[in-house]
Amino acid sequence: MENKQSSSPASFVDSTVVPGDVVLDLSSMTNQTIKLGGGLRQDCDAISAMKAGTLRFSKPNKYWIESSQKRYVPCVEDTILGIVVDSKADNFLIDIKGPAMGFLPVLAFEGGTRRNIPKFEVGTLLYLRVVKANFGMNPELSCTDASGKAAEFGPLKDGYMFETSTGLSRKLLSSPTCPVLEALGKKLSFEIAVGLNGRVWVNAASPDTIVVVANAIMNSESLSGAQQIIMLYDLMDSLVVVLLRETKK
Amino acid sequence: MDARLANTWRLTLNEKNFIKTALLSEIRIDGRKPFEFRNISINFGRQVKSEDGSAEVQLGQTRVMGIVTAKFVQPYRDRPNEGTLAIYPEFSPMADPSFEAGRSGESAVELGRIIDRGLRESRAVDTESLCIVAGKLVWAIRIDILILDNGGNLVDAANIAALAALMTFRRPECSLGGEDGQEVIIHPPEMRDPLPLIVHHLPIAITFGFFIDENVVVIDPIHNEEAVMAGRMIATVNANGDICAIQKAGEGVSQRVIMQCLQLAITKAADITKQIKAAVEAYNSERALQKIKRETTCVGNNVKGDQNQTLDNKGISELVGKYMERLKLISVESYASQNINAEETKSLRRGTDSSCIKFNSTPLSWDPYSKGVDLEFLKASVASQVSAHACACNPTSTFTIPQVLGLVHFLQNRNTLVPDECLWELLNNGFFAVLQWILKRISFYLNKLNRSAYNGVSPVEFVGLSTASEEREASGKEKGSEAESAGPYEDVNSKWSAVDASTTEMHVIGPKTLKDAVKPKNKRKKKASSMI
Repeated sequence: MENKQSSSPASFVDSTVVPGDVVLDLSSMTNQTIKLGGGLRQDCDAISAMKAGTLRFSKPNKYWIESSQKRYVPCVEDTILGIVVDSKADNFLIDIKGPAMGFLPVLAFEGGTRRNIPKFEVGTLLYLRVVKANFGMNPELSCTDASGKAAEFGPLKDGYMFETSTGLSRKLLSSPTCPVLEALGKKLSFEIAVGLNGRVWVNAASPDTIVVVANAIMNSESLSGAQQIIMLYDLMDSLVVVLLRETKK
Repeated sequence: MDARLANTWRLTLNEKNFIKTALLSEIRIDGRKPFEFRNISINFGRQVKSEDGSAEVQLGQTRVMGIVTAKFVQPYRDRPNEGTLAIYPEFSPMADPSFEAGRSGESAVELGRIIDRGLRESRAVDTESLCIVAGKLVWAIRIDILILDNGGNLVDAANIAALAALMTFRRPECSLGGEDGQEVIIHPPEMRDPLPLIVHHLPIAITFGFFIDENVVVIDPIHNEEAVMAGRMIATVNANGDICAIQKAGEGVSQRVIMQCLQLAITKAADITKQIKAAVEAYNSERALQKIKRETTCVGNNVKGDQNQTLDNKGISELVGKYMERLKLISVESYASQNINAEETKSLRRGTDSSCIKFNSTPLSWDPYSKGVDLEFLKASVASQVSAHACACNPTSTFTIPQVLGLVHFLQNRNTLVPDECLWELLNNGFFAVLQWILKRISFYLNKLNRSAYNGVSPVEFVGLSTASEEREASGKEKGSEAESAGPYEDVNSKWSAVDASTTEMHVIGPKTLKDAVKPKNKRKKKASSMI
C-alpha cells in the first residue's frame, strides 16, 4: 500500500488516508518549501490530513488530498465555474456549489476600476479563480490570475453547462488528457471549460455536438479508460449523424 | 440563510438559451427525441405479506415510491356504501434542495390532486366493493407517495407508482358473523388469502411541456426543461382511449396542439399500461411461487437430506403431510418440525452431511384400508433405523413420523402383533408426546385382547429385538458422549440407555410367561411416565 519515495522514508503518497493521519513530517525534510493543497493542514512540524481520500504529490513540491464528492470544498488557487446570484455594492455573490457563497470583488477584473464595473445578470456563468478559502468564511474569488491578467477568466457565453462530481472534473483536467476528451476531440470540435467544483461548460457550433459531448462526459464517470473508449465507439453512430448535419450546415 | 441560498439549484442563462435553441432543432439535452419517454422501471416490495402494496418507480433519474394501506372507517354520510380513497404525497428533502421537510409547497398539493382526480373521479378503483356494513363500516384506502429523487416529471412517476401499488395491494378478507350477524370477522392472511382491489382501468398521467415557440412540445420533461418551459399540460388518459383528467398551466396553447397532445397521450398510455401490467404479472407469479414454497417446506421438514433425497422421501413427506392432517396432530407436527429444525441445525453445526436418515424402505403406500404392515417389515425398518442411527450423528431423530404412523396403521388393522418393547422404544424419545399417549391406550387394549397370542411368540424374536436394543444402547452411549454439548437431548439419551438396559435385562431372564409380559409393561409404564 505504501509507495516508497526517494525524498522521505515512509511515504503516504498515492495511498488512502483518513482524517487525522500524519502524512508528512517536516522535521525530516529540511530546507524545502512545500505547497499544501486541499485537505491538508499544518500543525507545527506535522502535516495531517483533514479529508479522506488519496494523497497526491506533484513535482516539485505540491501535496494534496484527492476525493470525489458532489459538493465542493473551496481551496485556494482552484479554477471553478460560478453562477451570479446577486450583486452588492462591493462584490458579487456567486454560487460555487460549496458550503457558502463566494464573494467576487467588483474590482477583481483586469483593468477594473470603480468606473467600469461589469454588470452581470443573475444567472451568468463565470470562470473564476479562488483567492482565499478559509473555513467558516465566504471564499473570495477573482476574475484575474495571480499577476492581474484576465487569462480566460470571466463570463462564458452561450454553450451548455452541466454538473458532475469533483472527481470527474479533476480527471478531465488531468494530464495526459483523459481518454474521453481525447477521443471526442479527434472527431468533433468543441470548446470546454472545466470547473474543479464539479461544473463543466461545453460550447460547439451545433447543439448536436454539445449534447453528444455532454452526455459522453457524464457517462464516463464510472468507466475506466478503455471502457470510455468503448462507450465512445458506441456513440460514434450518433456522431456520424452529427457530422453529417454539421457538414450540411 | 446563507447556507440555504448556497444550496439552491440555479439555472444559468446559458442553459436556458441552449435548451430553447436545441429544442428548435428537436434536440433534447439528454439525447431523447421530443416525444420519447424515459425508461420506466417498476420494483415491488419483497414478497412478504406485510409488504404487499408497495412499489418503487424509476423514471430516468426520478424515483418515486407508492405505498398502499387500508383501514376501517365510517363512510361519508352521502355515500354510505362506498369505501374511500385518499392520496398523501410527501416531498422528501433528499429529493431536491428546494423541498422542505414538513408540509411542502403547492407543487405537492397539485401532484396529490392530479393523481386523486385520475383515480377517484374516473372510478378506476371500485369503491363499492370496499363496503363491509353499509352505513357503518367501510375500507379506507390510503396511498402514500414518497418522492425520493427529483429528476423531473414527478407527476407521471408518482401516478405509475400509485397504480402499481394499488394493483399489488391485498386486503384481508372479512366476513360478517357473530350472534347478530353484525360482527365483522377479519380473517388473518394465513387462514384466508387476502383479496386484491378491484381496479377497472389504469389512468396514466402524461406530462407535456410547451416552450415559447408553439410548435415545440416535449413529453416527459427533465428537471432542467421543467425550469425553462413556459406551459405545461398533464393529461390523464387510459389505454381504452378515455380521457380521465386534464390539468393545464402556464402559457396559452392553441387547440390544435392540445388535440395532438391528447392523441399522443393515448398511444403513450397504452405502452405504459402494458409495462405496468407486465410488471404486476411478474410480481404476482413470483408471489404465488413463494406461497407454494412456503407450504412444501413446512411438510418436507421431516426429511433431512441433501443429495440423498429421493423421490421416495418427497413422496413420503407429502403423504406424511396428508396424514398429519387426517390425524389432526397439528401440535405434534409443529413440535416435530421444531424439533427436527433443531436437530437439523445441530447436525449442520457439526457439519456432517452424511447424517441423513436413510430410508431403506420402499415407498410406503399409506392407504389405511389396505392390508397392514407386518412384523417382519417393522423389525426390518427398526433395524434399519438402528443402522442408520449408528452412522447418524444425531441420536434422537430415529423414529420419524412415517415409522410411527406405520405402527398406528397396523394397530388399527390388528393384523399382527406389536411387541410392546418395540413400541415403547419407538415412543420413548419424548418426541411424540400425544401420539405416545394414544398408542399407550391402544396397546393397552390390544394387550388385553391379544394376551393369548403371546404364548406363540418365540424367544428368537425377542432376542433379535434385544440385540437391536443393545446396539441402540451402545450407539446411544456413544452418542451420549458426543452429544454432551447438546443439552436437552442428553437427558433423552440417558433415558434411552436406561430403558435399553431395563429391556435387555428383561429379555435375558428367560422364556416369557404371561406375567412377565404384563409386569414389565407396567414397570416400564411407570418409568416412562416418570421420565416424561
